Amino acid sequence: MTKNPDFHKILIIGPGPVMIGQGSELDDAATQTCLALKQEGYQVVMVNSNPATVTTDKTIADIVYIEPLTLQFLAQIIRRELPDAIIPMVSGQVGLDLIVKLLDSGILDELQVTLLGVSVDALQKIRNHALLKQLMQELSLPTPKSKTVTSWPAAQTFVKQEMFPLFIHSELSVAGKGNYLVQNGRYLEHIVKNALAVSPVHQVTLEQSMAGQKEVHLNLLRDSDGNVIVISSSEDLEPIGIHTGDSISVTPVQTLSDHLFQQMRTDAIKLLNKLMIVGNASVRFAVDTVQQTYHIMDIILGASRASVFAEKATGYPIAWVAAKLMVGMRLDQVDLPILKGCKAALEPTLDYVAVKMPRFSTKQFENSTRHLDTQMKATGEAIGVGNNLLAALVHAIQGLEITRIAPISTEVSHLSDAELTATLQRPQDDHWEYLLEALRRNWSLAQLEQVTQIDRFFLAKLAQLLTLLTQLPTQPRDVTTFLTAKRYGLSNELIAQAWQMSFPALQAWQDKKKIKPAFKPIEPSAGLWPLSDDVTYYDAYGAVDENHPVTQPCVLVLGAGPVYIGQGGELDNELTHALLALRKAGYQPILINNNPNAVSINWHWHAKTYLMPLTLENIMSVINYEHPLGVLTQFAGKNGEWLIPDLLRQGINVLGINATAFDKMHSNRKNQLLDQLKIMHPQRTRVTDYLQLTSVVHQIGFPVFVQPVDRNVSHITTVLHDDDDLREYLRWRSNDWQPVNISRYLVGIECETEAISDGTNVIIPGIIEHIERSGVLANDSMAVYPPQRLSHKARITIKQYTTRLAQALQYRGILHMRFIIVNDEVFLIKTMMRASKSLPFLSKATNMPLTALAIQALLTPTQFSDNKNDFDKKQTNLISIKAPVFSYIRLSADDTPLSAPSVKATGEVMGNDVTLEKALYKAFSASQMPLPDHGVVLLTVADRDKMAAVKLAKRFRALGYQLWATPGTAASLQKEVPVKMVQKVHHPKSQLLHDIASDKIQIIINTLSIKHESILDSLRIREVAVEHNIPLLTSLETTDALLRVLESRAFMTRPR
Amino acid sequence: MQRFVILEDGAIFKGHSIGAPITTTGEIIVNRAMNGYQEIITDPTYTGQIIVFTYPEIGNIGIQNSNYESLAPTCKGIIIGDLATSDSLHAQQLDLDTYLKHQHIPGICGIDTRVLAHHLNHDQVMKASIVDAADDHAFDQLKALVLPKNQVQQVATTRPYLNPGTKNNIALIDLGLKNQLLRALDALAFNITILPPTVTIDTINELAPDGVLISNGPGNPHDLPELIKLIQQLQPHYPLLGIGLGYELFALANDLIIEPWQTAHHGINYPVKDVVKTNKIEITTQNFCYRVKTESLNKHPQVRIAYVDPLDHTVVGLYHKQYPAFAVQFDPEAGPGPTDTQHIFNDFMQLINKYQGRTLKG
Repeated sequence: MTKNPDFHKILIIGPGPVMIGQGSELDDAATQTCLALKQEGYQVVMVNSNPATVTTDKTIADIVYIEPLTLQFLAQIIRRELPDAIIPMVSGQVGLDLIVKLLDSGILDELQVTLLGVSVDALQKIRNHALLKQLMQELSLPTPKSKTVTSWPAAQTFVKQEMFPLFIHSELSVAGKGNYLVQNGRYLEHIVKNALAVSPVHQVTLEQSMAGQKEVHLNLLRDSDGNVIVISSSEDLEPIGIHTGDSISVTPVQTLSDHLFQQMRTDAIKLLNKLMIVGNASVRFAVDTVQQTYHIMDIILGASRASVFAEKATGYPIAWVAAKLMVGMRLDQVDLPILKGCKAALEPTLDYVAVKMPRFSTKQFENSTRHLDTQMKATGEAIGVGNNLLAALVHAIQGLEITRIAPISTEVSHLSDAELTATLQRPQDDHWEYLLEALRRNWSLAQLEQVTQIDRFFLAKLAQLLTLLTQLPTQPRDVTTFLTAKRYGLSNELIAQAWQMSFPALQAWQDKKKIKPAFKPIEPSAGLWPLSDDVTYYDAYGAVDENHPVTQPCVLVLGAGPVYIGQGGELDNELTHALLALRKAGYQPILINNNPNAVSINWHWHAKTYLMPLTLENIMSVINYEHPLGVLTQFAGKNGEWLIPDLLRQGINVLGINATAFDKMHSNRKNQLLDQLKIMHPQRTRVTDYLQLTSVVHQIGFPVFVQPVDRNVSHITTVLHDDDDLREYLRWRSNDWQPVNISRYLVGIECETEAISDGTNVIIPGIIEHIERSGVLANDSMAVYPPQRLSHKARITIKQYTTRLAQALQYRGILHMRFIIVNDEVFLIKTMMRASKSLPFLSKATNMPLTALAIQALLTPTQFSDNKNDFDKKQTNLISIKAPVFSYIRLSADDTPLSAPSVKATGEVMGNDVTLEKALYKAFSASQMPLPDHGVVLLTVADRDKMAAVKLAKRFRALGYQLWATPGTAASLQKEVPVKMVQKVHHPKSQLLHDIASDKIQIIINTLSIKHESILDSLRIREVAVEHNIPLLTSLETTDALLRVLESRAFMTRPR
Repeated sequence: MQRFVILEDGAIFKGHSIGAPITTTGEIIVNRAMNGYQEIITDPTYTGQIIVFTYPEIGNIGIQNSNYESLAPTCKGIIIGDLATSDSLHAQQLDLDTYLKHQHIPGICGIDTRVLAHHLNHDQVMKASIVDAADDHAFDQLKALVLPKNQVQQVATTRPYLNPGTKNNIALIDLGLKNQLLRALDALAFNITILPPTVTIDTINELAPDGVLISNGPGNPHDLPELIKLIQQLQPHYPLLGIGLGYELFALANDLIIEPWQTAHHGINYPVKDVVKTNKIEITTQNFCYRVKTESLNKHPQVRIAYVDPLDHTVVGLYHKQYPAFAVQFDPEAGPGPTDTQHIFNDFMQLINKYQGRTLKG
């Protein structure tokens, strides 16, 4: 069968915003799908709500819609575009939910839109656990015993004592929300009811638990002729019971006998054939290595974390090939981009090992314990590749940036054996540290395996690592020891420490001994097929180099590394633009990155890519090999910026940034410079000593803004208004003090811009205005472009400040500037010598290719100054809103499922339209917060907001909403509007959380105060609100915006 | 302890010794499978050969009772990247290194097997030695050594024996069969008489089997002229299936030309496409260094192509137009490897049933 000639236009549902459980990995799959289909001559329509992704670039799809991924908007778009086919396979759970809604609505039938990749029938079966089980039983595929229920009584009837441990699975929730592993009946009722509530279809499956067994994934591709191949197999170190997204995964599988593996393979193929899936699917297994048996747990359609890891690990472009298969091509008809002359009917075989390590942001959450369970917590991943397993593992750990491998870890060495055992039994996100500790204490592998259920094979590798670490210091400057350490991936940083040398001294020693890393290709044929030019490399010692330096002028681009809260896929998105712009300017881009979910690691951009941790050592290795004319750090986020001083010290040309400029901006001289340039800025003082805090605060004067020095602990950012607040803060931080920066808290309008400068000419593409007042939740704020409240004077001042600074620094590239405007006076509060995550939004909102301009500014300044004038004119009539999307994580301080979890913004969506209200509406809609036109509004606000809240409450009342409030707020409101008082969360008789969970409240307005109790309350309210998709507004400004939307939708009905 | 691999063309690779502390010489071949090292090492097809594994961690699951393809391995040595030593896993009987020592098989680790494989990609099957010193003496010995041609004799059974079953009777001519072949045939309950390669047509006629299967095995098919003749005598009268070496002999028996092949196929991820009936693509295990010269097929229209490799277009399956005989160069029984093509044995059974009772004989 050849590709379908009846199709011309295909619509792809994009993955939406980044959330925990569904991250930027899908962006890469979606991008590949677009490009693959375009190559075959189809017209591609992309619908996505996330502006911070390259999928919403007009160069990727033919027609792009940045609109909410809801039934309402998709239907509208489908009616307008009339596509022949629709693909939901690269949008994760969101896409599948949406496609089901579209199917149910009848629109696909009505407009004859074919569903590609899976039939309607198969889709129903896959999404419904009970039906899937039935199907598997018909095929005699082994699956765990289970029952699907829709009520607690039904569950109660099913459960018998001997069934525990039992896995409670909330049907169709994302990232395991609502899922729980129960050991006994203790909280069963609560858990089941919660799972039912969280499930969009109100179904729960109770399943015989396979916890403790080995988790294995198989990734397969199937074409419409029924040809199936296995692209990869991976196994998790952590057993079932810990979400696979939180586990360390290794590919290929290491510990299964061929017999067992082939049986699993055969069964997976059977399942795919029965479901007649066309494209990509992953099958998840639970393997009992003692009994040598397995069960199939579930099947995941389309692109997923597992499939993207498989892609990057094998070099086989699964999504690309899947797209071609979906339009009817056969596996032996599709060309494989990475191997010359080879078709896609190749089952990869690897001659290296790849490891994926999860990246957690749990330190950024209040009240977190960081225990791992069936609900995913990781926000991103690092990949490590090596020519042996240990090297791959070590590379992956190093790739996390926030962790260090050390011979002794002071964090864990003080624990008693009992404590250590307890932590190993209930692992945390850094549990490999605990594993190492246990090995240090000479626990036997058998013992450790029993406690952790991690296969001895991997524990032996960790033991090997430990041996290397302990032997290192005994053989300083010994070449054989060095070579062995390098073979197994140990960094020079580590070795230098062990040998008590400085890092530069060790590098020099290594150079003298002429020991260099070899670079090996990541490809799926183990050397059987010739490689295309776009192969990705990894580094290995004790191997022969197969790489060739680039012959044309090249630029080394640093990638942004794994995703974490505060740095999602946005930077990577911009990175791809930078790669393209570099090529256009005549330079070969060379990329170092280790985020398997990065879109930038794709042959399509023709960047020579090294899949390695972003350490100074590795960067220097690549520089010494490729001799680039400079290093581009501006798209590598925080870590890129931190590397600059080291690079400059080595004499490397850091594009756009000179040593003087960097030094001035990152030292005490910054204040001096700003004063000189007459740029107003709040004075900032660092307080490292807890005892100094009071005097510094008094010196600066209330109100003060407190920010942690270490940005990874942003939850301690706050505002102190008076001595009460200060006392409260001191009490709170007394146990866990972190150095902070104190500055005067400026109340005003916060805004930012990404300026592009070539040292002389400076372009301000546009100013993004935050809707919420300046301060605490800046990162989580809604933002609008163009600014709505700035005076002409303020805008000019912003432009002037930016120009002056850029010129003074002779800065080239992207300069991020953030301001607060108080009474029309502009204060500069932050600068970054790099792109911020707002860049993609700004680029899309202004319709300007900002990154391309930046590259021009960096490398071809004449072009830049020619183009500069064009961009002073406004490019768009639309108003764009950027809204944060929150992910909900259960991070409980204690053990019970009743504890409060936390929410953080992990991604963003964009709503744009011709009026502000319409744009806002879309933004709310896109972030999955429906705006009901009647119901109950709950107000519980901080003292300072109570006055302003009254006005807003009146407006809600005028629209017909009922008002509830907690006691303090109610007292302020009741004089002016009828309000029902409800108890605060921490009150013993409080029903509040329950009311929110049972849909009694439609909108919540909750502003934070400093009081610790209130913060906890707010966190709890947040959890429940996010869980149930209740719009939660955390500032009065957003509330005002929301009211405007609601008012614009409603007709005015007022008594005469 | 340091050790070397030296090649006929003068190349030297340095590594560390594992396995038996002896030197060895043999044909060097590359196997790209990611699992199944025990099956591969004990596969009689590798008799006299030194196996290079491209997969970097070998020995992960030790040696287990259920993974033997033969009890006395006849390969000459192994060349690997890292020896994965681990504590005994649940089903492990012993670790790989100890096993190799017991079996007097030397090995070498710490080799960049990917680069070695590249090196070998471009040559005909070469001789190599694993030695403790890469000196002139070693090279002289290497050049001087004439590789034996009696591999089949080394591994095949010398006497007939029975592998009982309840369904059709088949005669299986053993050229170095794997255990997995018997398992696969057992799954269909064939009643099998395994015969030595020296069997005569008269013996077979006396047995009067319902079908004849020629197993896979080691070595060069041109070294087995009696078997070529035997196949010519058998194929008009018995439903016939040849596997691996059996396929190569079948080809020669039908006047096709077999040539040694540069990019030999050793691994478990090779796709094959059924070009006769289904057009289906399946993944197979393959172990061969020879292939049918496609041009020779044009001259002999009674033999047709049944399976091809959709990637490099090698012919890997043939069938006879006139006689109920077919042969596949891949291993449908796998071991190690995917069992996608195990239906070949069902096809064989169907073929037998079709010709049951018909007078083919005489």
